[in-house]
Amino acid sequence: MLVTITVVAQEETNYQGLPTGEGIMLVLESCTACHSADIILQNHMSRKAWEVTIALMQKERGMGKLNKRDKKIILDYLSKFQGMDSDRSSSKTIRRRNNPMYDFDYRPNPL
Amino acid sequence: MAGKRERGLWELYTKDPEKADAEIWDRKPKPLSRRGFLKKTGLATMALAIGSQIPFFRNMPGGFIPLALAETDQKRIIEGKEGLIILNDRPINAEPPAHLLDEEFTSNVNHFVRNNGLPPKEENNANKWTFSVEGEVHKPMQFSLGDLKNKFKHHIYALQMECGGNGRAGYYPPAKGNQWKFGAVACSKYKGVRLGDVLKAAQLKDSVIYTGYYGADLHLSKNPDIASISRGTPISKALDDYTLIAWEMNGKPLPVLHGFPLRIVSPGWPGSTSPKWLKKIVIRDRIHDGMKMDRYRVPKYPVKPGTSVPLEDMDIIESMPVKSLITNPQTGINIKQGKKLKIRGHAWAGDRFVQMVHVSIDFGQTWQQANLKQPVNPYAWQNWNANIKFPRKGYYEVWVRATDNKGIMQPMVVPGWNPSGYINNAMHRIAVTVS
Repeated sequence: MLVTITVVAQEETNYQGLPTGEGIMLVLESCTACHSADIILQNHMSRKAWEVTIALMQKERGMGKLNKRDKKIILDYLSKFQGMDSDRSSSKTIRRRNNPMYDFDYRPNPL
Repeated sequence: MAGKRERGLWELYTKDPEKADAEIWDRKPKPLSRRGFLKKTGLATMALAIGSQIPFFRNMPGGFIPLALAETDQKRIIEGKEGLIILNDRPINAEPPAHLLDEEFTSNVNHFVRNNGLPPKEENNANKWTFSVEGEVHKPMQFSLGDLKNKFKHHIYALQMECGGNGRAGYYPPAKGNQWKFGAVACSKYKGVRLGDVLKAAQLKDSVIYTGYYGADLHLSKNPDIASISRGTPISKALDDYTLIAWEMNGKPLPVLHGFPLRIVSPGWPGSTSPKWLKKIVIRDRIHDGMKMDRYRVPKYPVKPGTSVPLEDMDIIESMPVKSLITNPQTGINIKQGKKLKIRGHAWAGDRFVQMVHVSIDFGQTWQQANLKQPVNPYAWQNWNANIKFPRKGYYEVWVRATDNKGIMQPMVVPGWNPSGYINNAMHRIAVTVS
Protein backbone atom coordinates (compact mmCIF):
# COMPACT_ATOMS: atom_id res chain seq x y z
CA MET A 1 0.00 0.00 0.00
CA LEU A 2 2.59 2.48 -1.09
CA VAL A 3 1.62 6.07 -1.53
CA THR A 4 3.19 7.14 -4.76
CA ILE A 5 2.98 10.17 -6.92
CA THR A 6 3.80 9.75 -10.56
CA VAL A 7 5.44 12.74 -12.09
CA VAL A 8 4.37 12.37 -15.63
CA ALA A 9 7.74 13.25 -17.04
CA GLN A 10 11.17 13.90 -15.58
CA GLU A 11 13.57 16.22 -17.27
CA GLU A 12 16.19 18.79 -16.53
CA THR A 13 16.19 20.67 -13.27
CA ASN A 14 13.64 23.41 -12.94
CA TYR A 15 13.83 24.08 -9.21
CA GLN A 16 10.40 22.60 -8.46
CA GLY A 17 8.76 25.31 -10.51
CA LEU A 18 10.20 28.20 -8.50
CA PRO A 19 11.15 31.16 -10.65
CA THR A 20 14.87 31.48 -11.27
CA GLY A 21 16.38 34.47 -9.57
CA GLU A 22 18.87 35.63 -7.00
CA GLY A 23 18.58 33.60 -3.81
CA ILE A 24 16.79 30.62 -5.30
CA MET A 25 19.37 28.07 -4.11
CA LEU A 26 19.12 29.34 -0.56
CA VAL A 27 15.31 29.21 -0.71
CA LEU A 28 15.42 25.63 -1.99
CA GLU A 29 17.87 24.63 0.71
CA SER A 30 16.06 26.37 3.56
CA CYS A 31 12.43 25.76 2.66
CA THR A 32 12.13 22.62 0.57
CA ALA A 33 14.06 20.32 2.89
CA CYS A 34 10.74 19.62 4.64
CA HIS A 35 7.99 20.67 2.24
CA SER A 36 7.80 21.00 -1.52
CA ALA A 37 7.82 24.31 -3.35
CA ASP A 38 4.11 23.89 -4.11
CA ILE A 39 3.09 25.65 -0.92
CA ILE A 40 5.41 28.59 -1.66
CA LEU A 41 4.06 28.94 -5.20
CA GLN A 42 0.48 28.91 -3.95
CA ASN A 43 1.03 31.88 -1.66
CA HIS A 44 1.52 35.58 -2.27
CA MET A 45 2.35 37.72 0.72
CA SER A 46 3.95 40.96 1.80
CA ARG A 47 7.54 40.91 2.97
CA LYS A 48 6.31 41.32 6.54
CA ALA A 49 4.00 38.31 6.19
CA TRP A 50 6.80 36.17 4.74
CA GLU A 51 8.95 37.17 7.72
CA VAL A 52 6.20 36.09 10.10
CA THR A 53 5.91 32.82 8.17
CA ILE A 54 9.62 32.11 8.50
CA ALA A 55 9.42 32.84 12.24
CA LEU A 56 6.55 30.34 12.53
CA MET A 57 8.53 27.72 10.60
CA GLN A 58 11.42 28.22 12.99
CA LYS A 59 9.29 28.22 16.12
CA GLU A 60 7.21 25.12 15.52
CA ARG A 61 8.04 23.46 12.23
CA GLY A 62 11.68 22.57 12.73
CA MET A 63 13.31 25.15 10.46
CA GLY A 64 16.88 25.99 11.41
CA LYS A 65 18.29 29.37 12.38
CA LEU A 66 19.22 31.81 9.65
CA ASN A 67 21.93 34.42 9.81
CA LYS A 68 20.95 38.00 9.01
CA ARG A 69 22.39 37.93 5.51
CA ASP A 70 20.68 34.68 4.49
CA LYS A 71 17.38 35.80 5.93
CA LYS A 72 17.57 38.98 3.89
CA ILE A 73 18.35 37.04 0.70
CA ILE A 74 15.38 34.73 1.29
CA LEU A 75 13.02 37.59 2.08
CA ASP A 76 14.23 39.51 -0.97
CA TYR A 77 13.50 36.48 -3.12
CA LEU A 78 10.07 35.75 -1.63
CA SER A 79 8.86 39.31 -1.70
CA LYS A 80 10.08 39.74 -5.28
CA PHE A 81 8.65 36.54 -6.75
CA GLN A 82 5.86 35.69 -4.30
CA GLY A 83 4.85 39.17 -3.25
CA MET A 84 1.28 40.36 -3.07
CA ASP A 85 1.04 41.38 -6.70
CA SER A 86 4.52 40.75 -7.97
CA ASP A 87 4.03 38.06 -10.52
CA ARG A 88 0.42 37.39 -11.25
CA SER A 89 0.67 38.54 -14.82
CA SER A 90 4.12 37.30 -15.73
CA SER A 91 6.03 34.06 -16.20
CA LYS A 92 5.28 30.63 -17.48
CA THR A 93 3.56 29.39 -14.37
CA ILE A 94 0.85 32.00 -14.61
CA ARG A 95 -2.08 29.57 -14.55
CA ARG A 96 -0.78 27.78 -11.56
CA ARG A 97 0.00 30.93 -9.66
CA ASN A 98 -3.06 32.84 -10.65
CA ASN A 99 -5.08 30.00 -9.24
CA PRO A 100 -8.45 31.46 -10.11
CA MET A 101 -11.13 30.00 -7.94
CA TYR A 102 -13.74 31.64 -10.07
CA ASP A 103 -12.86 30.72 -13.61
CA PHE A 104 -15.89 32.44 -15.12
CA ASP A 105 -16.60 35.34 -17.39
CA TYR A 106 -18.22 37.20 -14.51
CA ARG A 107 -16.21 37.72 -11.32
CA PRO A 108 -18.23 37.13 -8.16
CA ASN A 109 -17.99 40.73 -7.08
CA PRO A 110 -15.42 42.79 -8.91
CA LEU A 111 -16.13 46.05 -7.07
CA MET B 1 19.48 18.24 -7.69
CA ALA B 2 16.94 15.77 -9.00
CA GLY B 3 14.62 18.35 -10.47
CA LYS B 4 11.41 17.44 -12.11
CA ARG B 5 9.92 19.15 -15.05
CA GLU B 6 6.21 18.80 -15.10
CA ARG B 7 4.63 18.31 -18.43
CA GLY B 8 0.98 18.30 -19.22
CA LEU B 9 -0.99 15.37 -20.50
CA TRP B 10 -1.22 17.23 -23.76
CA GLU B 11 2.50 17.45 -24.23
CA LEU B 12 2.98 13.82 -23.35
CA TYR B 13 0.29 12.73 -25.76
CA THR B 14 1.73 14.87 -28.53
CA LYS B 15 5.09 13.20 -28.20
CA ASP B 16 4.04 9.55 -28.04
CA PRO B 17 0.32 8.92 -27.65
CA GLU B 18 0.48 5.19 -27.14
CA LYS B 19 3.25 5.41 -24.62
CA ALA B 20 1.22 8.07 -22.80
CA ASP B 21 -1.79 5.74 -22.76
CA ALA B 22 0.32 3.00 -21.26
CA GLU B 23 2.07 5.18 -18.70
CA ILE B 24 -0.89 7.13 -17.45
CA TRP B 25 -3.75 4.71 -17.73
CA ASP B 26 -2.09 1.33 -18.04
CA ARG B 27 -4.01 1.30 -21.30
CA LYS B 28 -3.15 -0.79 -24.33
CA PRO B 29 -5.46 -0.59 -27.34
CA LYS B 30 -6.38 -3.78 -29.14
CA PRO B 31 -3.49 -4.57 -31.44
CA LEU B 32 -5.36 -4.91 -34.72
CA SER B 33 -7.90 -2.09 -34.58
CA ARG B 34 -5.77 0.27 -32.43
CA ARG B 35 -9.00 1.07 -30.64
CA GLY B 36 -10.66 0.07 -27.41
CA PHE B 37 -8.92 -1.34 -24.40
CA LEU B 38 -6.95 -4.60 -24.34
CA LYS B 39 -7.39 -4.80 -20.56
CA LYS B 40 -10.22 -3.20 -18.65
CA THR B 41 -7.89 -1.71 -16.02
CA GLY B 42 -7.05 1.31 -18.12
CA LEU B 43 -10.72 1.90 -18.82
CA ALA B 44 -11.61 1.89 -15.15
CA THR B 45 -8.85 4.35 -14.30
CA MET B 46 -9.79 6.63 -17.14
CA ALA B 47 -13.49 6.50 -16.29
CA LEU B 48 -12.74 7.35 -12.66
CA ALA B 49 -10.56 10.25 -13.68
CA ILE B 50 -13.24 11.62 -15.97
CA GLY B 51 -15.88 10.92 -13.40
CA SER B 52 -18.21 9.05 -15.68
CA GLN B 53 -18.52 5.92 -17.70
CA ILE B 54 -17.33 5.96 -21.31
CA PRO B 55 -20.24 4.43 -23.22
CA PHE B 56 -18.40 4.07 -26.53
CA PHE B 57 -15.09 2.98 -25.09
CA ARG B 58 -14.76 0.22 -27.66
CA ASN B 59 -14.47 2.83 -30.38
CA MET B 60 -12.13 5.14 -28.54
CA PRO B 61 -8.94 5.50 -30.59
CA GLY B 62 -5.64 4.65 -28.95
CA GLY B 63 -3.63 7.68 -27.91
CA PHE B 64 -6.74 9.81 -27.52
CA ILE B 65 -7.02 12.23 -24.61
CA PRO B 66 -10.48 12.42 -23.12
CA LEU B 67 -11.55 16.04 -23.49
CA ALA B 68 -12.57 16.21 -19.86
CA LEU B 69 -8.93 15.78 -18.91
CA ALA B 70 -7.32 17.63 -21.78
CA GLU B 71 -8.86 20.81 -20.44
CA THR B 72 -7.39 20.52 -16.97
CA ASP B 73 -3.82 21.37 -16.13
CA GLN B 74 -3.31 18.11 -14.31
CA LYS B 75 0.38 17.33 -14.38
CA ARG B 76 1.04 14.86 -11.65
CA ILE B 77 -0.99 11.89 -10.59
CA ILE B 78 -1.33 10.31 -7.15
CA GLU B 79 -1.81 6.56 -7.31
CA GLY B 80 -5.37 5.80 -6.29
CA LYS B 81 -6.35 9.48 -6.71
CA GLU B 82 -6.14 9.79 -10.46
CA GLY B 83 -8.56 12.65 -11.08
CA LEU B 84 -7.45 14.91 -8.22
CA ILE B 85 -5.70 18.22 -8.68
CA ILE B 86 -2.53 18.22 -6.62
CA LEU B 87 -2.01 21.37 -4.58
CA ASN B 88 1.06 20.09 -2.83
CA ASP B 89 3.05 16.87 -3.00
CA ARG B 90 4.95 17.10 0.29
CA PRO B 91 2.80 16.97 2.33
CA ILE B 92 0.17 15.56 -0.03
CA ASN B 93 -2.82 17.85 -0.51
CA ALA B 94 -5.17 17.27 -3.41
CA GLU B 95 -8.78 17.98 -4.33
CA PRO B 96 -11.16 16.82 -7.05
CA PRO B 97 -12.86 19.26 -9.40
CA ALA B 98 -16.54 19.64 -8.48
CA HIS B 99 -17.85 17.28 -11.17
CA LEU B 100 -15.91 14.36 -9.68
CA LEU B 101 -17.98 14.73 -6.51
CA ASP B 102 -21.13 13.69 -8.35
CA GLU B 103 -21.42 10.28 -6.69
CA GLU B 104 -24.04 9.89 -3.97
CA PHE B 105 -21.26 8.84 -1.62
CA THR B 106 -17.72 9.85 -2.37
CA SER B 107 -15.54 6.94 -3.50
CA ASN B 108 -12.04 6.63 -2.11
CA VAL B 109 -10.48 7.68 -5.41
CA ASN B 110 -12.39 10.97 -5.50
CA HIS B 111 -12.04 11.94 -1.82
CA PHE B 112 -9.82 14.97 -1.20
CA VAL B 113 -6.56 14.50 0.71
CA ARG B 114 -5.33 16.93 3.34
CA ASN B 115 -2.16 15.86 5.06
CA ASN B 116 -0.11 17.88 7.51
CA GLY B 117 2.78 15.47 7.80
CA LEU B 118 4.02 12.24 6.25
CA PRO B 119 1.77 9.16 6.42
CA PRO B 120 3.32 6.35 8.47
CA LYS B 121 5.21 3.73 6.50
CA GLU B 122 3.37 0.82 4.98
CA GLU B 123 4.99 -1.68 7.36
CA ASN B 124 2.53 -0.58 10.00
CA ASN B 125 0.62 -3.75 10.45
CA ALA B 126 -3.04 -3.40 11.29
CA ASN B 127 -2.89 -6.45 13.58
CA LYS B 128 -0.16 -4.89 15.69
CA TRP B 129 -1.69 -1.41 15.74
CA THR B 130 -2.67 -0.12 19.17
CA PHE B 131 -4.05 3.14 20.41
CA SER B 132 -4.58 4.48 23.90
CA VAL B 133 -7.05 6.58 25.85
CA GLU B 134 -5.47 8.57 28.66
CA GLY B 135 -5.67 11.84 30.57
CA GLU B 136 -8.76 12.71 32.60
CA VAL B 137 -10.14 9.16 32.78
CA HIS B 138 -10.48 6.74 35.69
CA LYS B 139 -9.36 3.77 33.58
CA PRO B 140 -6.64 4.61 31.05
CA MET B 141 -6.87 1.99 28.32
CA GLN B 142 -5.00 0.58 25.40
CA PHE B 143 -6.80 -1.04 22.50
CA SER B 144 -5.80 -3.17 19.56
CA LEU B 145 -7.83 -3.01 16.40
CA GLY B 146 -9.24 -6.43 17.36
CA ASP B 147 -10.31 -5.17 20.84
CA LEU B 148 -12.08 -2.29 19.26
CA LYS B 149 -13.97 -4.51 16.84
CA ASN B 150 -14.87 -7.09 19.50
CA LYS B 151 -15.80 -4.88 22.44
CA PHE B 152 -18.01 -2.23 20.88
CA LYS B 153 -21.03 -2.12 18.65
CA HIS B 154 -20.32 -1.37 14.96
CA HIS B 155 -22.01 1.45 13.07
CA ILE B 156 -21.94 2.42 9.41
CA TYR B 157 -22.79 6.02 8.55
CA ALA B 158 -22.33 8.30 5.57
CA LEU B 159 -20.53 11.32 7.04
CA GLN B 160 -19.61 14.60 5.46
CA MET B 161 -16.19 15.99 6.01
CA GLU B 162 -14.89 19.33 4.79
CA CYS B 163 -11.51 20.95 5.13
CA GLY B 164 -11.76 24.17 7.16
CA GLY B 165 -9.80 25.89 4.36
CA ASN B 166 -12.03 24.70 1.51
CA GLY B 167 -12.61 27.77 -0.68
CA ARG B 168 -9.55 29.63 0.61
CA ALA B 169 -8.59 30.52 -2.98
CA GLY B 170 -11.58 32.89 -3.05
CA TYR B 171 -10.24 35.31 -0.44
CA TYR B 172 -8.47 38.55 -1.18
CA PRO B 173 -6.00 39.61 0.13
CA PRO B 174 -4.93 35.99 -0.30
CA ALA B 175 -4.87 33.93 2.86
CA LYS B 176 -1.84 31.81 3.65
CA GLY B 177 -1.98 28.06 3.05
CA ASN B 178 -3.09 25.58 0.45
CA GLN B 179 -5.32 27.35 -2.04
CA TRP B 180 -8.31 25.01 -1.97
CA LYS B 181 -11.17 25.75 -4.34
CA PHE B 182 -14.42 23.79 -4.06
CA GLY B 183 -13.30 20.18 -3.81
CA ALA B 184 -12.07 19.73 -0.23
CA VAL B 185 -15.36 18.19 0.86
CA ALA B 186 -16.70 14.66 0.70
CA CYS B 187 -19.27 12.29 2.11
CA SER B 188 -18.12 8.68 2.34
CA LYS B 189 -19.46 5.72 4.28
CA TYR B 190 -17.46 4.88 7.36
CA LYS B 191 -17.64 1.79 9.51
CA GLY B 192 -16.43 1.95 13.07
CA VAL B 193 -17.44 2.27 16.69
CA ARG B 194 -18.76 5.31 18.47
CA LEU B 195 -15.95 7.30 20.05
CA GLY B 196 -18.37 7.93 22.92
CA ASP B 197 -18.68 4.20 23.66
CA VAL B 198 -14.89 3.92 23.89
CA LEU B 199 -14.56 7.00 26.13
CA LYS B 200 -17.32 5.76 28.42
CA ALA B 201 -15.43 2.47 28.84
CA ALA B 202 -12.43 4.48 30.00
CA GLN B 203 -14.70 6.23 32.54
CA LEU B 204 -14.45 9.97 32.08
CA LYS B 205 -13.75 12.13 35.12
CA ASP B 206 -16.02 15.08 35.94
CA SER B 207 -13.22 17.47 35.02
CA VAL B 208 -13.38 16.62 31.31
CA ILE B 209 -13.97 19.41 28.81
CA TYR B 210 -11.96 18.68 25.67
CA THR B 211 -10.21 15.94 23.70
CA GLY B 212 -6.71 15.88 22.20
CA TYR B 213 -5.95 13.51 19.33
CA TYR B 214 -2.59 12.21 18.17
CA GLY B 215 -1.85 10.33 14.96
CA ALA B 216 1.20 8.43 13.75
CA ASP B 217 1.96 10.80 10.88
CA LEU B 218 5.50 12.09 11.02
CA HIS B 219 6.27 15.79 11.12
CA LEU B 220 7.63 17.06 7.81
CA SER B 221 10.99 17.77 9.44
CA LYS B 222 11.06 14.06 10.38
CA ASN B 223 11.64 15.09 13.99
CA PRO B 224 9.66 12.52 16.01
CA ASP B 225 9.36 14.96 18.94
CA ILE B 226 7.11 17.35 17.03
CA ALA B 227 3.50 16.38 16.29
CA SER B 228 2.52 17.23 12.73
CA ILE B 229 -0.95 18.07 13.99
CA SER B 230 -2.83 17.38 17.22
CA ARG B 231 -6.30 18.78 17.48
CA GLY B 232 -9.41 17.90 19.45
CA THR B 233 -12.99 18.95 20.14
CA PRO B 234 -15.21 19.81 23.10
CA ILE B 235 -16.21 16.58 24.82
CA SER B 236 -19.81 17.00 23.66
CA LYS B 237 -18.74 16.53 20.04
CA ALA B 238 -16.66 13.48 20.95
CA LEU B 239 -19.71 11.95 22.67
CA ASP B 240 -22.00 12.61 19.71
CA ASP B 241 -23.53 9.38 18.35
CA TYR B 242 -22.12 10.08 14.90
CA THR B 243 -18.52 10.68 15.91
CA LEU B 244 -16.74 7.44 15.06
CA ILE B 245 -13.43 5.67 15.39
CA ALA B 246 -13.46 4.13 11.92
CA TRP B 247 -11.45 1.41 10.18
CA GLU B 248 -13.45 1.10 6.98
CA MET B 249 -14.25 3.59 4.25
CA ASN B 250 -16.78 2.63 1.59
CA GLY B 251 -16.58 -1.04 2.56
CA LYS B 252 -12.80 -1.32 2.41
CA PRO B 253 -10.03 -0.84 4.96
CA LEU B 254 -9.07 2.83 5.15
CA PRO B 255 -6.58 3.74 2.41
CA VAL B 256 -3.15 4.83 3.67
CA LEU B 257 -3.88 8.43 2.67
CA HIS B 258 -7.07 8.35 4.74
CA GLY B 259 -5.55 7.05 7.94
CA PHE B 260 -5.03 3.30 7.68
CA PRO B 261 -5.71 1.49 9.91
CA LEU B 262 -7.70 3.80 12.21
CA ARG B 263 -9.05 7.34 12.21
CA ILE B 264 -11.58 9.51 13.98
CA VAL B 265 -14.43 11.05 12.01
CA SER B 266 -15.94 14.19 13.60
CA PRO B 267 -18.54 14.84 10.91
CA GLY B 268 -19.52 18.36 9.94
CA TRP B 269 -16.51 19.91 11.67
CA PRO B 270 -13.24 21.01 10.05
CA GLY B 271 -11.44 17.92 8.74
CA SER B 272 -8.54 18.60 11.12
CA THR B 273 -10.74 17.34 13.98
CA SER B 274 -10.91 13.94 12.24
CA PRO B 275 -7.32 12.74 12.77
CA LYS B 276 -5.88 9.90 10.75
CA TRP B 277 -3.52 7.05 11.80
CA LEU B 278 -4.97 7.38 15.32
CA LYS B 279 -2.55 6.47 18.11
CA LYS B 280 -3.65 8.35 21.21
CA ILE B 281 -6.62 10.17 22.67
CA VAL B 282 -5.82 12.43 25.58
CA ILE B 283 -8.83 13.60 27.59
CA ARG B 284 -8.26 17.14 28.82
CA ASP B 285 -9.59 19.31 31.65
CA ARG B 286 -8.90 22.38 29.50
CA ILE B 287 -9.01 23.30 25.83
CA HIS B 288 -6.40 21.18 24.08
CA ASP B 289 -3.13 22.94 23.29
CA GLY B 290 -1.66 20.53 20.72
CA MET B 291 0.00 21.44 17.42
CA LYS B 292 -2.23 23.68 15.29
CA MET B 293 -4.85 24.19 18.02
CA ASP B 294 -4.04 27.87 17.51
CA ARG B 295 -5.04 27.48 13.84
CA TYR B 296 -8.49 26.75 12.43
CA ARG B 297 -9.81 29.90 14.10
CA VAL B 298 -11.73 32.90 12.81
CA PRO B 299 -12.12 36.40 14.30
CA LYS B 300 -14.85 36.85 16.93
CA TYR B 301 -16.01 39.97 15.06
CA PRO B 302 -16.00 40.96 11.36
CA VAL B 303 -12.71 42.48 10.25
CA LYS B 304 -11.62 44.53 7.28
CA PRO B 305 -9.82 42.29 4.75
CA GLY B 306 -6.11 42.20 5.45
CA THR B 307 -6.38 42.94 9.17
CA SER B 308 -4.10 41.00 11.48
CA VAL B 309 -6.10 39.72 14.44
CA PRO B 310 -4.59 38.76 17.82
CA LEU B 311 -5.11 35.15 18.90
CA GLU B 312 -7.26 36.13 21.89
CA ASP B 313 -9.75 37.67 19.49
CA MET B 314 -10.15 34.43 17.55
CA ASP B 315 -12.66 31.62 18.07
CA ILE B 316 -12.03 27.95 17.28
CA ILE B 317 -14.15 26.84 14.31
CA GLU B 318 -16.71 24.22 15.31
CA SER B 319 -19.53 23.29 12.92
CA MET B 320 -18.86 24.14 9.27
CA PRO B 321 -21.42 26.47 7.61
CA VAL B 322 -24.17 25.62 5.11
CA LYS B 323 -22.91 24.99 1.59
CA SER B 324 -23.75 23.28 -1.69
CA LEU B 325 -22.21 22.15 -4.96
CA ILE B 326 -23.38 21.57 -8.52
CA THR B 327 -21.74 18.29 -9.45
CA ASN B 328 -23.48 17.63 -12.77
CA PRO B 329 -23.14 18.88 -15.43
CA GLN B 330 -19.55 20.04 -15.39
CA THR B 331 -19.05 23.77 -15.80
CA GLY B 332 -18.64 24.96 -19.39
CA ILE B 333 -21.36 22.77 -20.91
CA ASN B 334 -23.03 23.69 -24.23
CA ILE B 335 -26.65 22.76 -24.77
CA LYS B 336 -29.22 23.17 -27.52
CA GLN B 337 -31.93 25.77 -27.15
CA GLY B 338 -35.32 24.46 -26.06
CA LYS B 339 -33.93 21.53 -24.10
CA LYS B 340 -34.37 21.43 -20.36
CA LEU B 341 -31.17 20.94 -18.39
CA LYS B 342 -31.12 18.53 -15.48
CA ILE B 343 -28.71 19.66 -12.82
CA ARG B 344 -27.87 18.04 -9.51
CA GLY B 345 -25.51 18.15 -6.61
CA HIS B 346 -25.18 17.98 -2.85
CA ALA B 347 -25.83 20.31 0.07
CA TRP B 348 -24.68 20.09 3.67
CA ALA B 349 -24.64 22.25 6.79
CA GLY B 350 -22.12 20.98 9.36
CA ASP B 351 -24.07 19.96 12.47
CA ARG B 352 -27.35 21.15 10.96
CA PHE B 353 -29.68 19.97 8.22
CA VAL B 354 -30.26 21.63 4.88
CA GLN B 355 -33.81 22.91 4.65
CA MET B 356 -33.96 24.24 1.08
CA VAL B 357 -31.90 24.51 -2.06
CA HIS B 358 -32.55 27.11 -4.75
CA VAL B 359 -31.05 27.67 -8.18
CA SER B 360 -30.83 30.83 -10.28
CA ILE B 361 -29.95 31.37 -13.93
CA ASP B 362 -30.11 35.18 -13.87
CA PHE B 363 -27.37 36.15 -11.41
CA GLY B 364 -29.62 35.81 -8.42
CA GLN B 365 -32.56 37.94 -9.56
CA THR B 366 -35.01 35.06 -9.47
CA TRP B 367 -34.74 31.71 -7.77
CA GLN B 368 -36.29 28.32 -8.38
CA GLN B 369 -36.60 25.78 -5.59
CA ALA B 370 -34.80 22.50 -6.23
CA ASN B 371 -35.92 19.02 -5.12
CA LEU B 372 -34.03 18.23 -1.96
CA LYS B 373 -33.67 14.78 -0.44
CA GLN B 374 -33.37 13.97 3.23
CA PRO B 375 -29.94 12.78 4.35
CA VAL B 376 -29.52 8.98 4.71
CA ASN B 377 -28.47 9.70 8.31
CA PRO B 378 -27.64 12.85 10.27
CA TYR B 379 -24.36 14.39 9.02
CA ALA B 380 -24.70 12.85 5.55
CA TRP B 381 -24.85 15.37 2.76
CA GLN B 382 -28.18 15.78 0.99
CA ASN B 383 -28.72 15.30 -2.72
CA TRP B 384 -30.70 17.84 -4.71
CA ASN B 385 -31.72 18.17 -8.34
CA ALA B 386 -33.56 20.61 -10.58
CA ASN B 387 -34.80 20.93 -14.15
CA ILE B 388 -33.95 24.24 -15.71
CA LYS B 389 -35.36 25.93 -18.77
CA PHE B 390 -33.42 28.69 -20.48
CA PRO B 391 -35.55 31.40 -22.13
CA ARG B 392 -33.24 32.13 -25.08
CA LYS B 393 -29.79 31.56 -26.50
CA GLY B 394 -26.80 32.88 -24.61
CA TYR B 395 -24.27 32.50 -21.84
CA TYR B 396 -25.68 31.67 -18.43
CA GLU B 397 -24.28 30.99 -15.01
CA VAL B 398 -26.30 28.62 -12.91
CA TRP B 399 -26.01 29.42 -9.22
CA VAL B 400 -26.96 27.20 -6.30
CA ARG B 401 -27.82 28.35 -2.80
CA ALA B 402 -28.61 26.19 0.23
CA THR B 403 -30.45 27.30 3.38
CA ASP B 404 -30.05 25.43 6.67
CA ASN B 405 -32.74 24.54 9.22
CA LYS B 406 -32.06 27.75 11.18
CA GLY B 407 -32.74 29.86 8.10
CA ILE B 408 -29.09 30.67 7.43
CA MET B 409 -28.23 30.73 3.73
CA GLN B 410 -25.08 30.81 1.66
CA PRO B 411 -23.76 34.26 0.73
CA MET B 412 -23.55 35.36 -2.87
CA VAL B 413 -20.08 36.82 -2.38
CA VAL B 414 -17.10 35.51 -0.43
CA PRO B 415 -18.07 35.83 3.23
CA GLY B 416 -16.21 37.46 6.12
CA TRP B 417 -12.53 37.68 5.30
CA ASN B 418 -10.39 36.03 7.96
CA PRO B 419 -6.60 35.88 8.23
CA SER B 420 -6.27 32.18 7.39
CA GLY B 421 -9.03 31.99 4.80
CA TYR B 422 -11.38 29.51 6.45
CA ILE B 423 -15.07 28.66 5.96
CA ASN B 424 -15.69 30.23 2.58
CA ASN B 425 -19.22 29.05 1.82
CA ALA B 426 -19.99 31.38 -1.10
CA MET B 427 -22.32 29.90 -3.71
CA HIS B 428 -21.02 27.56 -6.37
CA ARG B 429 -21.76 28.30 -10.03
CA ILE B 430 -21.42 26.63 -13.38
CA ALA B 431 -21.22 28.23 -16.81
CA VAL B 432 -23.80 27.06 -19.38
CA THR B 433 -23.95 28.18 -23.01
CA VAL B 434 -27.24 27.74 -24.83
CA SER B 435 -27.02 27.80 -28.62
